Amino acid sequence: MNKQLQLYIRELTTGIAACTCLPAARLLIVLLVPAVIFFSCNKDRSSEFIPDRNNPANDTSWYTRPATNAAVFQLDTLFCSNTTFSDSVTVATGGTYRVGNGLEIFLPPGFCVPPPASGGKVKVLIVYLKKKGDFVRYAKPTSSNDKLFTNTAGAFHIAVTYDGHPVALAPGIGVQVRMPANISYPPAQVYRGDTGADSYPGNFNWVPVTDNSIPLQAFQQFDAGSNSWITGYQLLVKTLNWTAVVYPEDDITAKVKLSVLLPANYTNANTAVYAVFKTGKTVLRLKADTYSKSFSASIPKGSIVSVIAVSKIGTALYWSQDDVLVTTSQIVKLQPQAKTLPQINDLLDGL
Amino acid sequence: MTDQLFDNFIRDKLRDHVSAVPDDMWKRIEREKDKPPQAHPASPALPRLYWWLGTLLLVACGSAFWLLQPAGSRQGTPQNNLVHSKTVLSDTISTPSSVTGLQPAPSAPSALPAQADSVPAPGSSDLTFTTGIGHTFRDNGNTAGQGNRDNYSADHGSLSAGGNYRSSNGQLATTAIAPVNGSAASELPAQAPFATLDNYEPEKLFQLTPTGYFSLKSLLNKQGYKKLPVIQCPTLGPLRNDLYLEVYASPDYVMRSITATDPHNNSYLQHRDSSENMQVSFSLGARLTKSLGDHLLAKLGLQYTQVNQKFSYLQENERRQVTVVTTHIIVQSPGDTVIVHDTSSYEQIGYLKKSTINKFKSIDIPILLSYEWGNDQWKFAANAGPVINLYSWYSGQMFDTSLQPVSINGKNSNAVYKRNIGLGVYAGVSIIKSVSENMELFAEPYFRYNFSNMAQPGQPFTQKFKTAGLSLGIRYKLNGSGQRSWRR
Repeated sequence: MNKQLQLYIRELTTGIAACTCLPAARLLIVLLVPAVIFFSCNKDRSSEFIPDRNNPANDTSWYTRPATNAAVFQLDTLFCSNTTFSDSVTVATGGTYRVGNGLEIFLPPGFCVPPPASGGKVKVLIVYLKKKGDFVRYAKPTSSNDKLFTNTAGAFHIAVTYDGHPVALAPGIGVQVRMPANISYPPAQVYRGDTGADSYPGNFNWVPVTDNSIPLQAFQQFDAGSNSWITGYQLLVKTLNWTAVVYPEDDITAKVKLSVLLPANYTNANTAVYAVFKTGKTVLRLKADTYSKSFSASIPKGSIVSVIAVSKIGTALYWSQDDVLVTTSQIVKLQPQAKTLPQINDLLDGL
Repeated sequence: MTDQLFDNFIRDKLRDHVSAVPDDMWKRIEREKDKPPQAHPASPALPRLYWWLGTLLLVACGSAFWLLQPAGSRQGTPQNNLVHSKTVLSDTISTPSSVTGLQPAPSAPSALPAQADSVPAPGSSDLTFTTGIGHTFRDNGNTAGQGNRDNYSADHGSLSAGGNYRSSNGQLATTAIAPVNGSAASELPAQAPFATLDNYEPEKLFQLTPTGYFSLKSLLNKQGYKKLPVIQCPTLGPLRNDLYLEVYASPDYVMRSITATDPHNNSYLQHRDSSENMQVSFSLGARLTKSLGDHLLAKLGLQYTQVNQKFSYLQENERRQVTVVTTHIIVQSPGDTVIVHDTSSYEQIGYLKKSTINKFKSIDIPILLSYEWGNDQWKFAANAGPVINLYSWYSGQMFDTSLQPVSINGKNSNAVYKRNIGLGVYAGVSIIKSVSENMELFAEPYFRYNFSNMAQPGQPFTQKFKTAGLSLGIRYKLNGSGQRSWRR
């Protein structure tokens, strides 16, 4: 390296050295060495639990209007009943079909106008709500606008479809239905089911049929097989819909509020809560209160009810039940337990 | 005393006067306090003592230089072509015989200062006299009063001549110093029986001690500097002979390169890439540094390196119990509100994010060559050389080809990485600052690359590390005072 270059480098480095670097060097060491030690001294292993936000088990939110595909509405079609009939029926011949060892339905020949491609056969589905558990299975409480039915003779639903599409009854044709029941006074009334203008499943309500479009008659018939008289009601339905024969409530019975609390992850989006009365075929669905995060209903004072909660979280089903004598406004806490489908069906049958 | 009335008046008025403190006084004080100390550009951090020592040294040198000048030149009087830096004096002086014919001393010699010298007592056997600047001549045997001064010995190695003395008869005469060889006696001008300053031979050496020689003029001529004279300390030898111990620590940034040995393993490597992230790593080490020349040094050391890597993966379908306290505000009837704090627990479903810090540890021997330049305060160096890996070991986990976590610290047939990863190369640049006589601080950004694949044969991948770091350390001079730190 020649002398000129050496001189240049010397002058350059002397110029660099003109700054006060010793304090900076000390600062650098004081900051850097602990920083290196800190960042290098990490725990060898660690684990962190991260809840899956998309998993319904972790959802603790209450909704003013749960989505139509919410788990609570999936419960409506989840449980099977032995009082269900489904088969392919030849329209031209019709037929009489017995459902659930009680309900009789007579389909007259030509009861509907089948689509041309159907070949004259349609699928007929008949659901008969006979027991209290059936009303829970299909989420059809026995109340109308918060008014309880003191008793229910039964309810049914007839659906005619082809290839998944509904088929209407032929004009002027009615389907005769005979429902066994105890005849009592005051006389029963016919109610039909209503889901509101938008058919939101959470809106289901029974409304009275006042236009005599579904004439109701009582009947009595001797059954040779059981060697006894069978009584019941006979209807002629001209529209295919949910239909119930019920005994309305009187308005003078005093009521108290029953509130039900569940664990945090059981919300109105995945849980249905009912009060099943011990006396009479009365099933009341408790309403969800998003403010208090509870379910509640007005119960006639002095009633003995079974408070049940049916839940679906993910693919798991849960059941909880508690018997309560309602004398004053009270709060009931339930602790759901995981159950299988057959177990819940058995529990519903035992209500 | 009415003449004091005004004074008394002013005094009384101002006795208790307190000047207001300016509003910005504290700011001025802080500004002065925060001002960086005025530092010499070449040595900003030298303690005050060093500055005093340097100043003292300069003053001493200047004084020495000044004192060694001829008296006339020192005092600014015109000289007769006298070279101030020269003096001639020998052990014995032979005065010319004409000394015996003493002439009356000029009352005010133009060229020489009149000095009141010490006068030997009449009759003393040992005649001693001093020159105007303290140069003492001692008569070595001639009796006083006779004016026969054959021999004089000089006690002081100072400049020159022009001393006056009185003979026994009280006459004051001026004498000069004659050359040793006596030949100058014949060269003395007749009018001036004494040698004058013009007759000095400037090349003769002035004997200070029995063994040493000193010639300030010759020294300055040889040095060739136009600046003030610089004292050059004696050197021990022609070459630099430094030995250092360096201790350092370095935060490292490590880059990994990983490739699949088979194209079918590319998806496996993608999973590994997404699950592994390099973390802050570090190195620690010590080196012995020996100078091989003025600028070249060799470094040999031992270094520990730890490369950190974070391995994370998700374990799905994990469940945990969660306890929640929910407050229910229930209006049971108008005016009847119940607040219920309900503690409930439920099972939360999620996934477990597991993290492991993988550590790649190694012991290496760096063998470096360094080229250094700079000055006493600042040095710069370029370093390069091989790094030999002695031993490597590992801890942590990674995915295998079935995407299951397996340990990387397996041994023998289960080993994933080699225990010795062979040779690497190192290159860095040092900035070195002297902080005390024996200690220096240095900062050295560097880059290091390992040549060999560190994965065991049979593994579905090859892996290498590239490391960039900043070493910070201390360099200690092992052979302290015997070591010359620098030579221009």
